[in-house]
Amino acid sequence: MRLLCEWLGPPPHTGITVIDLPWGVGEPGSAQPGIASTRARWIAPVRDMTAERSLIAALARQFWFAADNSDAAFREGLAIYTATRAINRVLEGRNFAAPRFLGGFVPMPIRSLMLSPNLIGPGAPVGEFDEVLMPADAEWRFASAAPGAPARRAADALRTLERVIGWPAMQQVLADSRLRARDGAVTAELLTAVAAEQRGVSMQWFLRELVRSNDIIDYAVGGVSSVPSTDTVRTTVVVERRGSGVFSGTDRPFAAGPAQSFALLVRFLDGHDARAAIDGREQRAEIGFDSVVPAVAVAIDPDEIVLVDHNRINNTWASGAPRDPLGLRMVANWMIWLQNVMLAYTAIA
Amino acid sequence: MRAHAPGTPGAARAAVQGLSAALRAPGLLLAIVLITIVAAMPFAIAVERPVMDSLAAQPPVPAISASEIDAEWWLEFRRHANGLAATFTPAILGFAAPLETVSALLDGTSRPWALAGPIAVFALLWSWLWGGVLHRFATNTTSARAFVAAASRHFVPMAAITLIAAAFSALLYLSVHALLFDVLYDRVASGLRSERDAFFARVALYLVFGAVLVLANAVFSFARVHVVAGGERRIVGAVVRGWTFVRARLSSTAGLYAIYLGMFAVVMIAYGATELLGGSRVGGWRAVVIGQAFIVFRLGLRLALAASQVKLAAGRQ
Repeated sequence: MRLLCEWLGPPPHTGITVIDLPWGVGEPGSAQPGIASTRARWIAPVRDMTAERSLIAALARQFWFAADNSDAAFREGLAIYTATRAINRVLEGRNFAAPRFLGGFVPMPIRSLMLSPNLIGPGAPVGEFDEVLMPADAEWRFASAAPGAPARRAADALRTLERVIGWPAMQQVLADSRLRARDGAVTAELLTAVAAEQRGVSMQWFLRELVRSNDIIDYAVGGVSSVPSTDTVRTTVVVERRGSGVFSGTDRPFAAGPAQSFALLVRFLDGHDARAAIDGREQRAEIGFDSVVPAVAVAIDPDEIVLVDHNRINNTWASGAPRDPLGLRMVANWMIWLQNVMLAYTAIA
Repeated sequence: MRAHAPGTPGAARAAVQGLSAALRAPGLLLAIVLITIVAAMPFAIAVERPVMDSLAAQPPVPAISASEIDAEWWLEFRRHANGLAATFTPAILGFAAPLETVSALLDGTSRPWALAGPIAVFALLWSWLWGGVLHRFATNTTSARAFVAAASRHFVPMAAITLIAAAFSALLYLSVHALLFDVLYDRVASGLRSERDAFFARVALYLVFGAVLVLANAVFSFARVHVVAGGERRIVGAVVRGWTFVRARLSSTAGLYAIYLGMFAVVMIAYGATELLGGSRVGGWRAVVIGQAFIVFRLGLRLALAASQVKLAAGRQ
């Protein structure tokens, strides 16, 4: 709660009652003004943070209650975004994946899968927790949090904005927006205006392309070719915008020159990397690289900025790249799991 | 207490004899372990491609990070994966893998259709292996040629019994499991005030359903034994003889299964403890080796149970 207050300013209520819900009653993670609910499970190993995640989700929601119900989907997005970020921050280094088995009674914390590492790499932190998103259509939500709902888009848009402007600026935008709204709702328009004032540039692209648009944003590697010549190899990467949505990251007109919306990374056989900037407004872009060896891997948006991208799996291409040892271990784990499955089902046949 | 007929082993003796017979057949265990790995390999190769492509240009996770896996990448991968790749969940890691399969079996969790392929392949393989395995334990013949001949000779009846057993298990899930867990458990749990009571109610129902599954497994297992070691040629006749045998030797059969399920449970608990207790951290290739060792144990247990069933049935004939 102290962390949330540091980030977002004082909560709207002076006191918050935390309820440990009895078995079979209510929904952990739910919140009413001044009331936050969680549930301590009977079997809860020290590494199972389910109750903590639910409580943080309920506490983060407190900051987005408003006297009027305007822009409910965006406020739900704010609740999801701040809860997710707070979970990653508060539980860093001890937030393990803990799927539940045997009717949901028995948790199994998985130590090799840390959801909130204490040393966050260049990639984006985890953006989804069941305790924040489930049940998606609960009455206590400001708006539906089902996949594809405007609230989910808003949460992804806010994560993207944080990746673009950085957390210190984002934190100021959130706190100032709450201050500006007073008892009213923090709307997307208000937050965009605050961000624009703070940065001194127009931020309408955030509102127009990310929050208010339902168009799918999807960038993908359309193709890669490496053609050897006398002493170099010419590698051409095709970047395609497959959805009708756009991520520009700027309000400058297209005619004013290309925008540097996100990066394209090309990794070559000798291990060195090359980067180029991509204008997200382009329907299709062909980027050429000269090198002494051919490319083995390509990644669009390798820094994971565009978290509104509908499918980031098609952002990569690989051919002849050295096999990732981690990937090999994961596939080996999957093969053992498959053997367990095969043994289990042939035991009853 | 009812005395056993002269020369008829009880559950404990059959278990010891079966374990001893399995231990005397390390070559058989090794061959079956290799066959299991080879059976799983093509499906692993099919899954490897999308995983490797997706990981090829991922931002590196800091070397001293507490986690070796980028959880956000995994979420995104799962969101867009289909077919077998869609089964690439955190439950594949370490002890969660066997726990998840046992849980899915008891809860009747529906599986993606993509898993039907590997399971069908493995069931067919075992339809062939059963003839050789049971012949090996019934005759103590160690010749590989005799194994292959017996496996091939009994393939059709074994496959037929497997098919009947699979259909019967499906029927059990659609009727008994649905009644126990979708009707009875929901009613009971709604009236309970604590999670602990609900858990024990569920465990009680697991025991009931587990007993039904074990009974069915025993009938079909002894049907296989009667085909290979008892000379039964008719499939229906073998199943009827399996049922008659289990009914006549219910306490020995139940005891035998209790011993083997007990051994399985002890090793499962020990496996789980290595990952859950204290500051243990089993990851990387060490976790893979432990996971594969558990598969070897399961296969060894399957062979030992088959040998025990042969001994139990042989005492009766």
